[in-house]
Formats: sequence, C-alpha cells, structure tokens
Amino acid sequence: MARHKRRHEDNPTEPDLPITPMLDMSFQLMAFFILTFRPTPSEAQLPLILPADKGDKTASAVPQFDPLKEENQEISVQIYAADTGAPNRIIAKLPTGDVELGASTTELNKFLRDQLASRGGKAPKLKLQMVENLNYQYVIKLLDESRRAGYESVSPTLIQ
Amino acid sequence: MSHGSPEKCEPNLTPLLDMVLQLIMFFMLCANFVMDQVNESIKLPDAIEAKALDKSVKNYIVLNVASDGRVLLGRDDKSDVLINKIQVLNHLKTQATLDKLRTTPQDWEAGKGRSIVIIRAHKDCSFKMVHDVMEASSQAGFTDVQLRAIKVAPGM
Repeated sequence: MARHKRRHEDNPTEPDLPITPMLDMSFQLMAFFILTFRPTPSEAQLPLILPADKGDKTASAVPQFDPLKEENQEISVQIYAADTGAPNRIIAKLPTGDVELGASTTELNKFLRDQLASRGGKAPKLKLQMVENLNYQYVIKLLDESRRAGYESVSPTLIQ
Repeated sequence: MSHGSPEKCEPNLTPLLDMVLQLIMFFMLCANFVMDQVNESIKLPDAIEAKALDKSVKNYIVLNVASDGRVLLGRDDKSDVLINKIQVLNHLKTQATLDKLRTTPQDWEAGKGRSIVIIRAHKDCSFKMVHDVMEASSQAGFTDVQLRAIKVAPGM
C-alpha cells in the first residue's frame, strides 16, 4: 500500500482541460454581440395627464369649474407657426391683456419665470395653444421650456 | 541526449479566454433588446427636462407616429399601420377592453389597470398628428400619456 502511494506522488497526473473549443465558442459569441451591438441614444419621457373624455362617467363627478379660485387661474399662451413649421409668433393671454413674446422660446421662458415670481413661486396651470402645422420638435421645445421655467402642469392643445 | 524527450510548447490561452469572456459579458449587458413595439425609424426630438423612463411600468401601448402622420405599431414599416384617427381610436378601444378584462371591476372603477400610452412621434411631424393621437387616447379612456424624447444636456 505504501509502495503504491509513493508511486502516485512520484508521477502525479495533471488534468488537461482543452481550452481551444471553449475559446472558439467564446469568439463566436463575441462576434455575434459585436455585430448586433447598436448603441441607442438615451430615450426619456415627458409625462402628460390628459383630461378624461367628456362622455366618460367620471367627468360628471368633477366639481364645477370656478374661475375665481386661485388653483383654477391658468396662463394661456398661443403659438403660431410659419409655413416651415417654426414658431413665428408667441402671445401670452393674461386677464390684463395680451403680451407679445416674439418668436423666441427663450422669451417665453423668461416671461413664464416672471409670472411665477409674481405669483410667489406657485406655478399655475399652463395651457399651450398651438396651431396645427407647428413642427413637433418645437412642441417638445415649448413643453421643455415650460418645465424648465417651473411649470409642471402643462397642457398642449390646438388653437380652435 | 536531452533532446530525446521533447517538451510541449503551448501558448497560455487562459488570459485570452478571460478577456474574451469579459468582452462577451460587456456586450451581453449592453445588448439592445429593444421592445417589439418601438420603431427605430422614428427620430425623436430633443428635450432637456425629459425624465428617465420608469422601468416599473408593465402595461403600455406604444404608438409610433411617423413624419407623414401614419401610426406604426411595430418595429418596422411592414408591421401594422394605422392611417387615420378612427383607426387609432379603434385600436385604443380594443386595448382598453383588454385592460378591462385583466382588471377586477373594483379596480377598473377606481381608475386602475389602464395602460400608459407612449407616443413616439417623429420630430418632423406636425402637432396636429400628435394631437389626434392624444385626443384618441383621451376618448378611449387613457389619461396617462408619455411623450418620448431624447434626453440632452443643457446647452447642446
């Protein structure tokens, strides 16, 4: 028995793991992932809450609209577009009168910030009324500027 | 006579295998397993204030609005296409019925169980096209809507 043990210690057998097939398979997997790899830009969301449809049963449960209540006071902004789809005229509708804001979205942002400051930092609802042919990228830009100015409740609608 | 027993000369493949496996792991994690309903031909507009996607949302309906106003429901242009507002409304009403079937009556009455409508509109389409989709969503009873955009850093 002792002699048998000594023989094993003298000549140990090394397990030989074949790595080559594994490497082949790994290269094939890597080729697959490299070929199918398409980095996409980071997609994000602008959440909106739509009003319930007028035919909906829950609409009747909504209390009557009181325009004198502070939370019901909203700012309405109308945006008109040129034939190219770019905004060419932005008008803010206030109880005191209309305010022309030109065609720049940065002017709108400044106006909205001023309004927010004049209301003590409490953002009212903002209604963006836009024409049909306004390009969608400007719609998103206007929504973006409104949110940057601190308005969370923004409703985009069509100018009737 | 020492040449009588030739020694095997093998390159050490283990570090190479390690590196390859690490690369595979990287590509697997970064692999873009896109949703079936997301159409990659839609070029989204940029937005600074866009919020990160909520991964917890289970039920959603993706409507891809192409630059010509067609609403695409699948990954490519060969998939289902809705060409007008009535078709969009009918599609959304069907989805609303499916939502209702998988929700208990109590939850449905409480306004729960409704899917979120994800609008992926091409940046060159007009506001009317997107508004029609939003109006159809509202008429079908969906009030939660997400407009998709590409998040960009300020100043870009």
